[in-house]
Amino acid sequence: MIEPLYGGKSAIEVLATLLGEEPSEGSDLVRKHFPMVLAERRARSEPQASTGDPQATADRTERDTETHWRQTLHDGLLAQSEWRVLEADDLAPPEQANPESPPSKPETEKLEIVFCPDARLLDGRFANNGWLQEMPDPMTRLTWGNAALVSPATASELGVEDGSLVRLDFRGRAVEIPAYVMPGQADGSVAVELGYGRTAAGHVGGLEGEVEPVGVDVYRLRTSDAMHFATGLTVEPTGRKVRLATVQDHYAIDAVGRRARDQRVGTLIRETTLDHYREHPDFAKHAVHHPPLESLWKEHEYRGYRWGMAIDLSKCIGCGACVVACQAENDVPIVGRQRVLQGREMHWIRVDRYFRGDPGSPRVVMQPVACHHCELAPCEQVCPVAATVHDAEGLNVMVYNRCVGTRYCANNCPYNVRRFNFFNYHKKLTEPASEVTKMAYNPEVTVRSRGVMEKCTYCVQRIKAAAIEARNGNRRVEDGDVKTACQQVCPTGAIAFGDLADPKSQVARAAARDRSYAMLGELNVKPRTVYLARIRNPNPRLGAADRHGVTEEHGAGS
Amino acid sequence: MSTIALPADDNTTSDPTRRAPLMIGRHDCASVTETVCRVAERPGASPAWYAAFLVSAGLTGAFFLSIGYLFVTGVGVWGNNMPVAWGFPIVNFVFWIGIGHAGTLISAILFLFRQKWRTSINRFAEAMTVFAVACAGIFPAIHVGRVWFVYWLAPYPSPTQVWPSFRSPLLWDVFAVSTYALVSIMLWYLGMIPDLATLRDRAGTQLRQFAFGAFALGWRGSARQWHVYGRAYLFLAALATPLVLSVHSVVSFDFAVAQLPGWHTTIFPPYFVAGAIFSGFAMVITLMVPARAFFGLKDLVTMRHLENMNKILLATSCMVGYAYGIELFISFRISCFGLPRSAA
Repeated sequence: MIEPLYGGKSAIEVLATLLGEEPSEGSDLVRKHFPMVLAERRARSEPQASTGDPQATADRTERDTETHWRQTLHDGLLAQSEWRVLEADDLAPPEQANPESPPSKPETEKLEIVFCPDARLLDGRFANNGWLQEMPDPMTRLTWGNAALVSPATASELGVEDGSLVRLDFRGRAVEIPAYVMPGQADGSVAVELGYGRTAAGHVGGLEGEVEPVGVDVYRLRTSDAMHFATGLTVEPTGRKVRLATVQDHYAIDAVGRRARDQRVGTLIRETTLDHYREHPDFAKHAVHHPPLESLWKEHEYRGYRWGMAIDLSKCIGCGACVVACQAENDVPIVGRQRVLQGREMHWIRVDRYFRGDPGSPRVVMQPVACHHCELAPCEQVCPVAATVHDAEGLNVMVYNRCVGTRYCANNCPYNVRRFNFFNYHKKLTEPASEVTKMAYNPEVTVRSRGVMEKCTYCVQRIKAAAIEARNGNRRVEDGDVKTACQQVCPTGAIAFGDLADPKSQVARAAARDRSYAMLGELNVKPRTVYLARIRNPNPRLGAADRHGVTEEHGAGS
Repeated sequence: MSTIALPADDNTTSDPTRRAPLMIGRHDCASVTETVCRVAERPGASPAWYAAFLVSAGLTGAFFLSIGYLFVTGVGVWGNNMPVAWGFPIVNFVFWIGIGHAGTLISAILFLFRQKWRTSINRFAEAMTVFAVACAGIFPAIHVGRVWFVYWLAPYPSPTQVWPSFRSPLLWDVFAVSTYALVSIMLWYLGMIPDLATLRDRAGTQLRQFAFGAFALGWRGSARQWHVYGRAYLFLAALATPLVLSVHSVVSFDFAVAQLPGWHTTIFPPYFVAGAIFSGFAMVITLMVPARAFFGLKDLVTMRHLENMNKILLATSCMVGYAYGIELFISFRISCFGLPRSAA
């Protein structure tokens, strides 16, 4: 909790002043009202007034009220004020659907339009939030804008490709929006995301006359009788192209490239069906054949903490919350649409998304990738000024004040997780208007200047904070004391972080599983982040289509 | 004896009974001195020279303005991103260092091989090297994110007691390129001393006499001085010879030591060195052809010189072509047959 910024007043304080009351603090206003709440409740439950000395009663009531008030404040809610539990008999039976009006058949000539809330902006309420605008959509990987999603078959029929500006005509209204070829989208159905094209969102989302609106407003097509989907859409390519600010799939890839990529994705994101897993429990460890991994020099022995991470791909749903959490915790800048177009987004963790199999009905695989803190890190070997080094607990430490910015480390990172400050992305902080924005920054993390490399640090500030507390308490850091930001916010608990040296820790147990594997482990970088392979359990009645393309044991998948 | 009638200035035919002439026309020591010195001593500059100078001065000005903009704004102006963290600046650096190799090859290696014909061209070829290395040295310095700290790449005893990391190929570059620059300048300058003395002795104005004299280091042309000169030059040439092969090999390590597919190949050192000599000789020819026309040096820099240069160009072009072919072949092999798998 912080003091109200710029001496602002809360809604309740303004309301009280408007009603002619003495200007007072919000907490006093609620406290003044509290006895009335209690009296009302007491009147409902005990209709008869109590007997006795009125003054003593009043005093006792006053003391009780004060105690009650403090208890309520402490608990955060008024005791015994919950809703009455209803039994199922209390509910009326649901209305039967009218069997005489079946859903209308879609017109075969026209396309269907589907209005979706955006994964980040929802209905547009968060359009002024830069973090959310720059967070890539889990499926399309687009930032700073929306697109009309069409299936590959429909796209080739219409003659559109990624970025083609198309005109959507629906019930007499039209908007122009870039198209995006979305594998897996139903044929004949065009999905659009709501919440874009706002003209009064703010300096980030769009302000009429000052700031270009982000994306295209599709609310114009939406009517109250077709709030979610309807047929009758026509799509017409305008012939113009718009550049989509995507963080993956920057260029069209041909069939040969797609085949090669499919092969490699099978080794990066290892998955199989439940039956296959039962037969070969350690399939994930043998997905890539490589010579025995040897090191040129004597490797370091780690005594003490060995920080590591395990990401369970069976649990990861690709929501991207980890991306924003890391940004919030580590003062990662947003760079804006232009820089994302140039490939300079700064997210320390990214969630890769690949389509596997037939583009018409693919499987989607997701994988969060951040710095793996390799024990034999290729980045450490090539830095000319020794600005990225390894600490005794296994962290690959990026020393911002030593970094000269040659960017060799970024070239040599096999996971491509290093981010460079090409410009001073925090320049606005020096302006006087940023007094408040500065408060959003985490004071425990250095804000990087231009010319300096940065990357995931396993939330080293949290590790050190926990280590200090543990040392003060004369104990070791226990499992669960340190939670990285991405781990903390993951809704499925897919990320486990902790001390690998503690065999009982969550991460050690995860890493010891037979499903665990190191991505690109054949490069002998010995990463501290391991993945747990994904196990699918497709319904046999879905047929062979879904079984196609799982990681096979010998060599890459198809 | 050929039956084709060759023009009078063509000394490219080889007659095994006679040593090939190093220059054509009727020349003696005095006329050779005159031909060469006249270039520096011509009174005034022609309008054509001024025009050319203005153009290059303009471009140089644009260069410095751009560097200023880069320093003030940030490394992002180069247009690179992740994963393409290096881009134009490093490409340019490798290009210019490579070009410089030709001058050293002509100066040092051809000298050791007693190829006397190289005398006509070695001075401006070596000058080209010095300027190419100067040009190249700028780019690694200005492509770093924090230019004001680029001196941290130099191994000096710092109060922070942190030395640069000697495992990094970029640091090997620092040593290779600085050694190369130093040796090139020394070789160039040492070779020039008698020539500067000649210009000093022929100097018309006192300023010229003083300037050339300062750089001529008191050269008198005595037998003893010639002897010492010969030994020193031989020594420097021997020192510079391995640099022709090693410097660009070390520069290629910037890429070959990284683990990126496509970069991490053993063909890079010979590929880069062959490429360096290829492009360097091309640069020398680019300078030679207009120079012999504009400065009237056709008697001294003859067709034979061009012929010899072209032969080396052809040989190195075959090597570079092979390297290109190998790169394409490896990508083709991987895409068609998959990555190599071990027998296990």
